[in-house]
Amino acid sequence: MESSRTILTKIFTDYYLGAAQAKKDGKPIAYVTAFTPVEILRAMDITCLYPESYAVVCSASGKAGDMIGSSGMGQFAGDLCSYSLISLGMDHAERLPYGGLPEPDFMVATNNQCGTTLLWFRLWSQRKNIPLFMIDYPTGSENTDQNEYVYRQYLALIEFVKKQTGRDLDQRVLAQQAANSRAACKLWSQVHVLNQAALQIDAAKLANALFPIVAARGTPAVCRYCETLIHEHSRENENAVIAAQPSFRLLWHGYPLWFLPKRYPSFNDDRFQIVLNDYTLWWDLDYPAADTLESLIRPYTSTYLNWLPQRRIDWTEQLVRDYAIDGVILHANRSCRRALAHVIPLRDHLLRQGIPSIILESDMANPDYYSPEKMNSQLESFKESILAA
Amino acid sequence: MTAVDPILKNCRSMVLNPHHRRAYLQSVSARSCGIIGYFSNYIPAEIIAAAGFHPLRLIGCFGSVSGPALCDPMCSFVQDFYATQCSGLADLLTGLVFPNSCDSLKVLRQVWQTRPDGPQCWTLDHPVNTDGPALLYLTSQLRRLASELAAASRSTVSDEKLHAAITEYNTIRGLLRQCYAKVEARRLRYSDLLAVATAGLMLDRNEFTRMLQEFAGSSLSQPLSGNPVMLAGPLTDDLELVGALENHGACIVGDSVTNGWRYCSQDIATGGDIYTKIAQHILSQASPTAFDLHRPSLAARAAELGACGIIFLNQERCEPHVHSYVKCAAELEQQSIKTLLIEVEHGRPGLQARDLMRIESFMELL
Ligand code: SF4
Ligand code: SF4
Repeated sequence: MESSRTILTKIFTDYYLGAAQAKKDGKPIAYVTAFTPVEILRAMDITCLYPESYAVVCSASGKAGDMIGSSGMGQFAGDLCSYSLISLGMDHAERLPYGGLPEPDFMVATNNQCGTTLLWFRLWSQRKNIPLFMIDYPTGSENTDQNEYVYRQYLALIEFVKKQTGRDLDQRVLAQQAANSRAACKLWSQVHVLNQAALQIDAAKLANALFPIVAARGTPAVCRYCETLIHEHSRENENAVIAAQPSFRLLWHGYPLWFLPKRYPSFNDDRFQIVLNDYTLWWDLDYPAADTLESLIRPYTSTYLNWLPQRRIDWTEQLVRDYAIDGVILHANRSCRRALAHVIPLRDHLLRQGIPSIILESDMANPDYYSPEKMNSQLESFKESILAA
Repeated sequence: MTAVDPILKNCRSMVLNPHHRRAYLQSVSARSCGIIGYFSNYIPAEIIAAAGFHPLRLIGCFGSVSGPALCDPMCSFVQDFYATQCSGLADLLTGLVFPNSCDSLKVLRQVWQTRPDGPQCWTLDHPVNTDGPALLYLTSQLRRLASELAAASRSTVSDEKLHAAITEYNTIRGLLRQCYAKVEARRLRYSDLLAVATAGLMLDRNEFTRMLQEFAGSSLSQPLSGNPVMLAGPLTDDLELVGALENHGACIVGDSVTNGWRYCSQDIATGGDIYTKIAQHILSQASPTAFDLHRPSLAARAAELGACGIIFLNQERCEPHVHSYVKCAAELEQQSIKTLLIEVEHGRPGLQARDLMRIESFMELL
């Protein structure tokens, strides 16, 4: 049986080499945002590339500074999302990981995570002089007219892609893609469940394991990958390497710090360990069973960043219970306005429930906003507050 | 002293003096069924008015109450609004209507909704595109807003009431356009018009129409001199800064700002389905927050006005306008239209020392 590592490498290689090959063969390529209904595009035989995911690779390779400097956003960079800046810098920076992403034929952006994606993709598509399609997902789930609206936009997307590429939607592939995505998301959630009773999979490994569900969701390889991860780390597997158990189980709330080798700051004390980062669960998308175009409305309308803050707070509180969490670290990521909306109310809510919680300010991809000294000292007092609790 | 001086004084005070505004709104509150605050041109005041409320655009100097801050990257307008606890008017407002536009406003709404106190919130979920599905959706959302406001005021929003409100506001828009023509002909000072137009978004509409009729009839005896420039940006309510630009040699001949020309450039059409007409009006608005009609319209407007430069007055950390500016500035420069960007901190009005030299060199360059 292949190891999860081998499958991950293969998914990664297929993604980057596949894109380069598609370019060579003249097959259409689209840049898409993280929560684009790619199942539709793949059912039209479009190669989809995720600039956000590539920004993570660039940040982890130490290229963020160079690329942000090349973004052309100059004096405004301090107020903007690092993923967007790194991507905009891709067109001018040199010596990029994997040689950069192949040029797209068109772009698709959605606002079910933030409004930044629309602004960034619009500017980028204008600079590249290529077409852009924007899908609008109403925020919050209080609006009953939204399904019809999103559905109409899906039909318009299909027309747009047809016009750009001459390709038609293959209903059979769409159904397969949707079914695979549904299965992969279920398995992805089960990978996390491994850590509910005891720490069985390291948080850094889980953060690194995110790539397939983000960039290859809809392909059968992702299900295999998740199944293998579960098998490798399950208690029933006698060869499983189970980590030493922490005394204090922590939840990291929000984006990892991609530029750190371990993705999270060190606690300098093995008694404290992250057993869950809720960010990786944002891709536990809720696909209904139908596997039709309509079935793609709910998962993409009800994304985490499209939830209203109260729902985010309730969800986190539930995770604290399910994962027997002793303390919560909330990453206030300066890049992401939408993700900041609930951070202070959530911290206050958790403290009222007697759960030690702390806000750490940084950025997911730009190390300029990371101060190890400051963070260490904040974490020291946080640990003390847990010990005292 | 001219006949319009009292009007100007009153309007300036409405914009710049939060105490004056508060006192005025207290009197409005006593004689209406409530005040509904709203943000941006995407929220049609006509629907609020037809539901029987006084529509209040949340704009102007908010005062110096210092409350809790929102997280850093939110724009300075939103930060100021939050820090001053709903611009110091929370107790006077029956409700707030938010647009679903930029992330700063979305976050403001979301944070506001988690508070147990404070006015009720409604959202007009308007789309990011301008195509067929967008028009249908926005029309349905306008109807939804009308019925929610009607329920709040225990009244109905009939087509007749809505039609009457549209006619009233179209009259205001028409009068403002007359004033803009005078600004373009250099027979009216732009900062005066901006004060009047901005105050009008807060005043009782009938009272404002009478004021505006008088103001539109006034004219300077001599045309203004100076370099013809145009202003661009999101909401622009820093009258001191605009006055300082004029004092430094700018003859502002027009604008593309949300509380100025972008508010009044077009009437809402009547006839046919009234909600569809309002939706069409909103979708035709040139704004960088949602619809990308802003960029081409800027160059066209500058050409129309014969402006040789555009001064962008962006609110600090305003993400939509930064993105728009980056693209626009490069294109405008290629068309030999000079640009200057001044970032405005909403809670800190007036000309900042750091901008003085930049303004002077810009004027020399022109
Ligand atoms: S980090 Fe936040 S602002 Fe940036 S692209 Fe992601 S969701 Fe949008
Ligand atoms: S100034 Fe900009 S960011 Fe702030 S509310 Fe207005 S459009 Fe949004």
